[in-house]
Amino acid sequence: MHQTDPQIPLTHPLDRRILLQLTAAGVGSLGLATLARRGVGATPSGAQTDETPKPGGTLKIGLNTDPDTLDPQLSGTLSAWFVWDQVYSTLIGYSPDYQIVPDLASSWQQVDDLTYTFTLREGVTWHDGSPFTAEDVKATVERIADPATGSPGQSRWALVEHIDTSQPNTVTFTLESPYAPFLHNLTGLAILPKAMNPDSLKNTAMGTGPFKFVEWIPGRSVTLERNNAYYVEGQPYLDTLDFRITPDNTARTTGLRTGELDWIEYVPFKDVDLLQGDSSLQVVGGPSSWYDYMRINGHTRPELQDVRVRQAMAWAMDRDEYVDSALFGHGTAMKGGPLPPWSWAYTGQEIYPAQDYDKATALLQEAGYGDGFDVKVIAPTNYEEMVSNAQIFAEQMKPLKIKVSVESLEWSTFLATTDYDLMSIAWSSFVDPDEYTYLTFHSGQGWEVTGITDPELDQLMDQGRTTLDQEQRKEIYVQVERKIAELAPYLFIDFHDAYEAYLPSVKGYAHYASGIRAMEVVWLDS
Amino acid sequence: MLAYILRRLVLMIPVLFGVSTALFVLMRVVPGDVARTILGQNATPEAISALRHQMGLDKSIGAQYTDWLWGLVRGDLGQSLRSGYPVSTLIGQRFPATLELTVAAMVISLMTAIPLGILAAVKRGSWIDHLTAVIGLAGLSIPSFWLGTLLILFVALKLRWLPPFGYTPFFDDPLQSLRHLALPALTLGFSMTAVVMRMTRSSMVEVLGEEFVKTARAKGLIERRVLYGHALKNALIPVLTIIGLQTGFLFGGAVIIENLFAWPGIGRLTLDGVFQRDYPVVQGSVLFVAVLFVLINLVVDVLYSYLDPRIHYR
Repeated sequence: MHQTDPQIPLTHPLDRRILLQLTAAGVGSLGLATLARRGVGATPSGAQTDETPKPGGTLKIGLNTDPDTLDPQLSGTLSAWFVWDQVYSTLIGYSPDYQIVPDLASSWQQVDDLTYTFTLREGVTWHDGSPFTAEDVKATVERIADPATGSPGQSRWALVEHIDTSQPNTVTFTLESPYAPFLHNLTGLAILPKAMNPDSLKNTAMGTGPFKFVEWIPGRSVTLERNNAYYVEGQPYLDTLDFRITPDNTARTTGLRTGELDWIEYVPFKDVDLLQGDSSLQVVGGPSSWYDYMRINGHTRPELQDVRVRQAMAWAMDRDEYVDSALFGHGTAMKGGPLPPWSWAYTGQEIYPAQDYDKATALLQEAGYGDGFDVKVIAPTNYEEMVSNAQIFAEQMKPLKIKVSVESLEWSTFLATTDYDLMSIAWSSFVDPDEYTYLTFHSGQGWEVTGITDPELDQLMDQGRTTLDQEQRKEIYVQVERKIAELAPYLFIDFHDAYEAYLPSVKGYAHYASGIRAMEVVWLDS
Repeated sequence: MLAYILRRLVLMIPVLFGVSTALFVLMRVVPGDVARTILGQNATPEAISALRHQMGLDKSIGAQYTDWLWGLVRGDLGQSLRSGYPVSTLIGQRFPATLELTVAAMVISLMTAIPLGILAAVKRGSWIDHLTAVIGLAGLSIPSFWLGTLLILFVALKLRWLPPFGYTPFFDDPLQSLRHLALPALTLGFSMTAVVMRMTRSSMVEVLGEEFVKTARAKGLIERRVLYGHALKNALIPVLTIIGLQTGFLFGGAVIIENLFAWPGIGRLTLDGVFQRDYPVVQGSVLFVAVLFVLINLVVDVLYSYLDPRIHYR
């Protein structure tokens, strides 16, 4: 999930359905570090209409889980992200086609490989009326970069060497070394007021975004109201966002159909077809940032330390079966690596195009494990799909005489378990390929836990990170992806779709694969 | 009697001390911790220890325990490690919802269970006795989440009589509050009805066979007096025990019903806390429920002596 709900690069894995469950259990944790906010003036392509937006009204939103904390640098749930993303702004954001666009920064310039200068939008005020300044930006980055804050996104800011605010309305960042994902990372960094109090950040929010925080009643609701001083003329259209915490899947769906709710997210896969067939509802959706995979622990069994064994497993997987059974068809098999189809870095290469037991058996025999062996897969009980994936995996390994035992564990216990052989889990990816390759597959990185690394792969990823030209980077990531798939520290399964559903009176909403909810452009036609 | 009540109240202290110690230890024994759960699957050891330090979880268990106990003595249940809200605030927000649901479910079940139970006992073997047997069996065997889902689909979605879920505090809007309360209270009340009704019936049947009932009839009392004046009062003692236990459980939260109807009660607060390893929230809410449980038991014991004057407490 992004864990408990994340966006762009999350620290967590989740899938929508899973998420739902997670949510139901109140557990998701995401890593939210990279959630990106949309930029200003972004009209989603799917939402263009000839109608003139009408101001006013309250949108009743079904929220799957209670937010865990509203602190954007610490929260781990998708529901928390959804809420605080309406209250805070970012320096820059993404347009619906993933181009970087202005938000609090009206323009920016890359002075050299290490220096970025941002000119701030003038006249922006915080919700309490005080002026927004460069000092706020500086304080925000310093806080997340400080290991004592404990943010899951800390490592993204470790390369910031210096932040200069001596020029009025200007922020200049100096990095220690060239770092291609820098701008991308800024799209996910909610700018906090310099005068923030870490305790009140947890349960209130005061930003520069389209909606102002009114109240959070844990377990029940969160209320946001229109920011009349929002810097985009005319937006937002809605007076109030009324988030109702509704953990049960059936209740949310029923709530929408009875008009108790106007808008719901993460429609369970099994209900997508049902709701799409209901002419009184709108269902939008498509690719999301989540993908499922099996993580191999390279520290337990000698068999799994042999690359031929890992490749044999990858060849023995029929990825379409996971999509059909666990996702009810709402996903895409991952035949290459972790780069999602909607990223500029997507390569489309099929490294494991189809299940091939002959190849798999030959590889196993070559490795000397033709008689098979036993492994243990752990899966989190609150993510039904991940448990299903583990069971399908166990079936598909049978012809190789690999005996897979599946152990389902409650989420927190699951996270604390280290003696697994494989882990059935999900992760979210986002636009920049560094985000979901470097931290997880580069030796010496904190997220690299499989122990399965490769010097050549390290070098390629170093290159991808320090090369600033996008076309050149794309070529590098074709090789990175191939290398990861062949090294097989992860066995990739599928990318998930995600769906939102709402009443026909809701206008202007568009689905983002990244999970962004641009509620400032939504309006009600009553 | 007063001395007895006071003594029982004083005895609560060691009970609650035991509960709180067991709770504290149990929460620390289960695998996983709040920092790891917040940071997720790719947490680095450095980030986990930084967050643990920030939350004070790197202190020794003994120090954490004494901190917590010292807080309790001062009436401070601590703060949620995630939302930063004081635990007492969280409980204060949830308790009215739990109280409303519990009272409503009790009223529904007692108003149906006791009359039906008496009727079934008096007219043993009649159609009404069979009917209550069927209701009793259904109430015990139908899972509440299934009954609740059916009610949502039928009453809320198809007939559109009531909202499918949600909670409105009673004093904000009494009518809307009752509309929200109806389905969860019915669902919860139904299973409780079954238990109480069966107990009332069997207890009544037993009492009706007692000598003193024959005596009452023999001395020419009208049947209604025999039933309500003599038999029922005696038959109610075991029923009261069951009601007390059930009420205690309800105060602990009906997690499944709370989830289904998005009801912000104590049960969900506790369960979410357990899943997130939010120690102060779990410790505070379970302790609160333990206090209620002990108090309800005390009330039940006191009621015994009203129902049966032979019972004296000193």
